[in-house]
Amino acid sequence: MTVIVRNTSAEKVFKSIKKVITKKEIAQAEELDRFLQMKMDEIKNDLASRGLLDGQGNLERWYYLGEHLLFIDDAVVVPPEDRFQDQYIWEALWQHAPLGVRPGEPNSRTGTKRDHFRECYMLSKIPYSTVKGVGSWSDWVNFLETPVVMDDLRIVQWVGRELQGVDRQGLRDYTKRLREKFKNRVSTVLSNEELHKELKDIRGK
Amino acid sequence: MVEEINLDLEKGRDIPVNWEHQLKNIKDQYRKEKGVVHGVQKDAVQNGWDARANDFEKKWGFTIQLHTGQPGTFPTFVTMTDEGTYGLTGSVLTREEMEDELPVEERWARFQSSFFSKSEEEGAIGARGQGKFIFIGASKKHRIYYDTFRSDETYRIGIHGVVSKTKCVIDQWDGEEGLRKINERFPTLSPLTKVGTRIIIVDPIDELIDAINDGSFIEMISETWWEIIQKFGASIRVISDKGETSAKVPDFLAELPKNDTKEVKFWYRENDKFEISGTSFRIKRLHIAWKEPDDVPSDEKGIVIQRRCMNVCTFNTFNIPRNISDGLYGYIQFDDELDRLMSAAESVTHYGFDWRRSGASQVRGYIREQVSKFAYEKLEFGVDPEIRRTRERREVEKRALSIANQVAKILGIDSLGRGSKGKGKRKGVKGKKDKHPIRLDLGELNLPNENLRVNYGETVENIKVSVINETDQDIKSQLKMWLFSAEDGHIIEEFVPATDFVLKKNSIKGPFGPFALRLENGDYLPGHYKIRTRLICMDNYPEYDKGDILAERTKSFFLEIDPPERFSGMWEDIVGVELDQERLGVYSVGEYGGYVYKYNLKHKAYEAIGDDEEAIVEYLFRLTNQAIIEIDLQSDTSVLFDEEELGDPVILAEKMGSLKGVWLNDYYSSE
Repeated sequence: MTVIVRNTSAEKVFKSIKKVITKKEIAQAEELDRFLQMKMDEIKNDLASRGLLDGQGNLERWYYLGEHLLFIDDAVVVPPEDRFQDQYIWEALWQHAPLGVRPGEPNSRTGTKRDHFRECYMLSKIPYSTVKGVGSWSDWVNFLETPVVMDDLRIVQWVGRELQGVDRQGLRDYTKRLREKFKNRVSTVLSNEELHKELKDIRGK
Repeated sequence: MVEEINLDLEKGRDIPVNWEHQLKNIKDQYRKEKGVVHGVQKDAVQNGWDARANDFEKKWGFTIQLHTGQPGTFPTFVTMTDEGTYGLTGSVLTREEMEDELPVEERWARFQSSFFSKSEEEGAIGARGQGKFIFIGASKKHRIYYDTFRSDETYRIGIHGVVSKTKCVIDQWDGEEGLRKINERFPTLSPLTKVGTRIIIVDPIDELIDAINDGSFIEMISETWWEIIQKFGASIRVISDKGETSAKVPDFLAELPKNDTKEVKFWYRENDKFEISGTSFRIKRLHIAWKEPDDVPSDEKGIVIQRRCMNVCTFNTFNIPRNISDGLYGYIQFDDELDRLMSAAESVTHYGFDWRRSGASQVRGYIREQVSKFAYEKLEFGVDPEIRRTRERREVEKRALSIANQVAKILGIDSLGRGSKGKGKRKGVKGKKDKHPIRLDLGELNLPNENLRVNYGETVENIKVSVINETDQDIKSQLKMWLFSAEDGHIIEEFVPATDFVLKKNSIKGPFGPFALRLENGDYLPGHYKIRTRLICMDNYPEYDKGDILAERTKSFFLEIDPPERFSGMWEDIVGVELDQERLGVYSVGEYGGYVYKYNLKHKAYEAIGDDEEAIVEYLFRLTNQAIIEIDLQSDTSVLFDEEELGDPVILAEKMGSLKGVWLNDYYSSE
């Protein structure tokens, strides 16, 4: 996947993990650029209609923003093989997001696994009732920035399914145990069954 | 040679002391804290409390009274009277008799002397015998009287005054003579009828009179002595021209919450223990609360440090933002052992601690940690204290790294192992080899330049990895090797895609490679790149779980940019790790070709430092100095030692000690 970002002179820069970008990919990048602009306008309007653009209700705002970003799951927009490998899509989103939709100016986390939009996207994989039950954006960020979680979306999906009703302390405790369990360990080589068993064991402690 | 002068020191004269200047110095010490008046009440009640009798409960009391004078009749004076105490027991001792250690019963002699300390075993708060000078300092005439009535029904009055620049005198009268003296001097004063002591400040300074009359004096007492009021029902009264008031526990401490509400959150801990050099100490109680900062008056902000029931000072330097820490208030109390340890760190005026001292350093760390937890758990300050601690440790490590590299640079050994093909590398110098039984050998990258810089059109060669298994276990493994951007983590190339195999016991697999990476303009952006290889366990074994990272190695280079300075020093990094308890630390060659020093977070010497950042930096400095010597000795051509030194272990040891002494001296000289 190729995306367009703009440098400080507002010139278009085509970014891709591929060394050679084909004409077709350039055209797709232009299309994606237009789509992202349209999408961001749509998000802005929706958040405004919910009264979430005035700096209040961060958790709610970022959750609904994340829901809008689920278009990234569309294989046409982001090929599945690129989804967690290619972080340029997150950088591209910043280019189009107006203030209020983005939390501030791009920073050193932009375009990395700690990208704000990426965290919104991941959070929206969890039912809103569970997200709200914890109540604090910073606690969710603490969970989402756990190294093993950043690398394995299956963990977010499992938490959304199996930790419904978790409260703030419960999430903190679970995050802490998760960090310990996967310290110096990767989860991506585990099968779904193996991973779910591990996650369940951590919950049971 | 200088001949020793034969002096009869017994016949020598006392050195004249400028007492006025001495008095000024002592007053200045108090002014820097909470002022002379605050010091008067603190030392006065402290003297009375230290002298409490065994059966003091319900009997102990302290009264401060202002006696406004009548011009031409008697002067204005302030009395400070204790009861339920032993009184000033003991004899009037000669100078010679005071040469020996004064036992606790010789209270009179102790009071009349200067700077005779009390032992901590006595459980006294005041320990240095300086406090009475603040009473003299609170007298415009620099003069105090004191009378005492003892359990043997004897009465004595004494005087203590600075009468000239170099003369500070004491005198005393017993029995009837004493009573006559006091009646002559202070005709409105009744003789003491209860066992105890009374201090009389003659012609007190205006600020003391004002404080007694406007109520601020009783507030100072309440704030300082609330714990003995709360715990023992101690009665402390102030009688002014306007009437009598009693000290009470300040509302903000009396009403510290034990339940959370919307407006107020609390944090309560009891009996938390920690060890210092094998001895266990206990925080008796930490009780703090938080309100909106605007709702907490400035004199109530912070955590009151109590020692032996006295408010010593308020602690308010936390590791959380000001807008949160400004809403904190409460107190901390210690067990007797920790009280004693804290005493040694307490300032002479009893208004603060040397936080670098053993005990105080740990207490500071404890308070900060608990406040961070409180902020995290209840105040929605969202960084886990453990993560915060790690971040703070990294900052200290970076400081130590910078200093260690400066030393190495001065010694001319700042470019060990840099570059490729031996360029810039001192022959024969090696790091301690990774001895883990399962490991990856990434070898040396062939970089085109002496430092870690690579330019467009150049090639990085010899990218290869071998997998070593020295265990007696076949292990299902997966190997990967890839290039990624150190700045944003993007994976750029996969040299070895995920490759599964059984790593046979006691074998070497590979090498995988060598690969070469040609860096063409247009293919790669300028920046910092890393080549990483990782071996992952792919089954469950007694010692390893599936997914465990069995080994990982990383090498770096910089495309079209010069490596930052930290990548060109001898020390690439200093990091805390957990090692066997006895090991101070280990070092090895890092991913940039410099050394990485790994110090032991579990070593008792490190743990004893607590969170004193300066002390940690110095500790790491000492460790890396030792390592510099070791690394130099492993080289074929030492720059620190000549052949003679290398040939004689005794001379070598002396030189090593000397070098460390010089470096440490430079360290402190440069600060």
